[in-house]
Amino acid sequence: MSLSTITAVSRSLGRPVVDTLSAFPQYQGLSGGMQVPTDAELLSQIADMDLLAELQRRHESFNEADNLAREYSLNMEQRTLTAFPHSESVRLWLDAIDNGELRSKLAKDAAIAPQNLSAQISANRLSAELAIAAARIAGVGLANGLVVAGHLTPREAYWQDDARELALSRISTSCLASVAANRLEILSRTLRKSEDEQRSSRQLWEHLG
Amino acid sequence: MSAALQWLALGLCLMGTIWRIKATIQGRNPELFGAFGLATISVALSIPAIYLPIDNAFGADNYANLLLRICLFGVFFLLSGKIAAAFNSERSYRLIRGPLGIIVFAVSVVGVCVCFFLGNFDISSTGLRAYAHEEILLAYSAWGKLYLAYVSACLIPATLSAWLHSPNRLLKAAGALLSLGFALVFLTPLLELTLRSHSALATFTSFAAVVLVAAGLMTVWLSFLRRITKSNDPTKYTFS
Repeated sequence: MSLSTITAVSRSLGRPVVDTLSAFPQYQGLSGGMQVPTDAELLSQIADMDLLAELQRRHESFNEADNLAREYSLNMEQRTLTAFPHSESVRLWLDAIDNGELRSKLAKDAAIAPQNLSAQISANRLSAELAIAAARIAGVGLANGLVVAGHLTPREAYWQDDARELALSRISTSCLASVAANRLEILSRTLRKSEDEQRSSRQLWEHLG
Repeated sequence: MSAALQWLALGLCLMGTIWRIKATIQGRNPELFGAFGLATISVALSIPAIYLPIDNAFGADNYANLLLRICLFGVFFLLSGKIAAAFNSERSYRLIRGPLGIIVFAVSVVGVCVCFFLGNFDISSTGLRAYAHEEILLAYSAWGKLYLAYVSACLIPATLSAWLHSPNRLLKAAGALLSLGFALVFLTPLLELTLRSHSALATFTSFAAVVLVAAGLMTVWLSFLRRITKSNDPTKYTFS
């Protein structure tokens, strides 16, 4: 039975989805392997622009005289982050939990071609089996991959509602800057690719339209 | 069945011609209007009900068939340059519109004319079917396809590479259909010459070639029309 069927039935019955899944042989041990997401995982699920906005907010507050008080109020302030999973959720989550060779190990364990895995990641997809296997290899909560790949909602995997906001408030500004720099690098690659694609479409239309 | 397909093709070409009128008045790609117009003439002249009266008006010496061949050259001449430019292939464009392309074009026209005058086609016959047994018709037909095969060969690398390597889905789809179509256009005369007759296989490949090339161009046009009506560009990256 497919994961989407099980989750749909479980949701309609109002049962905890993770528990229902654990009753099936292929998802055995799922409920036992639940862990709170790490800060790295949480940060990976914050959209680029939210990270940049946070950086800007801190920058502004640092320019103020009463640093400490400002910082304190900043932490207490209600941050509203864009809902996730976002358009690079799968790739960034894998990067966040990767402690070396994750992708090659994952492809080997699941007996799929590395290109097949890359294709899924590029499309921001990850099958339930791979999501669980990746979490198992990396030693993080087993349901976390199901959340970032969109199979489960964060609540169904017992992620705290403001978990990402709290992780963001904990991260040092220097770390934040380096995470944001990495995101901008990825963003510029994505943008370049889509600009190239647009240019070739335009060229096609210009000559044949 | 075959006759119905021909009338359908004629209708489509005619619609294409009418569709291009507005764009041509605005000065946008007049080559496409020309290509559709010439294609309309070519298709019309392959239908007996149109061919015979027109040929009679020219003196019933099958000059209408020669006209058909030249029109077909024209269609390929006009379209191929545009396709090469659309797929951003400078080399294909140079090979087609450059000196070599013009020479092949001229040689083909001369070759077709010479074969036509060497053959004694003095009884009006659609597609010169009455002369199917004559050797000279084979040569005439082969010369008539030389330029098409040359142009197709020039376009195969560009369209094939778009199919295999382009990350753009539109280019990939159009490239796939066009490269397969051009491969068939390129192979048809070779098939005819090796089989030494108008075999059913050659008829099928040329028909399939037309369908594939038309489908490839339709893919581009449909995406072009959708682009205008739909403001959100599917290729556009949206910030998340």
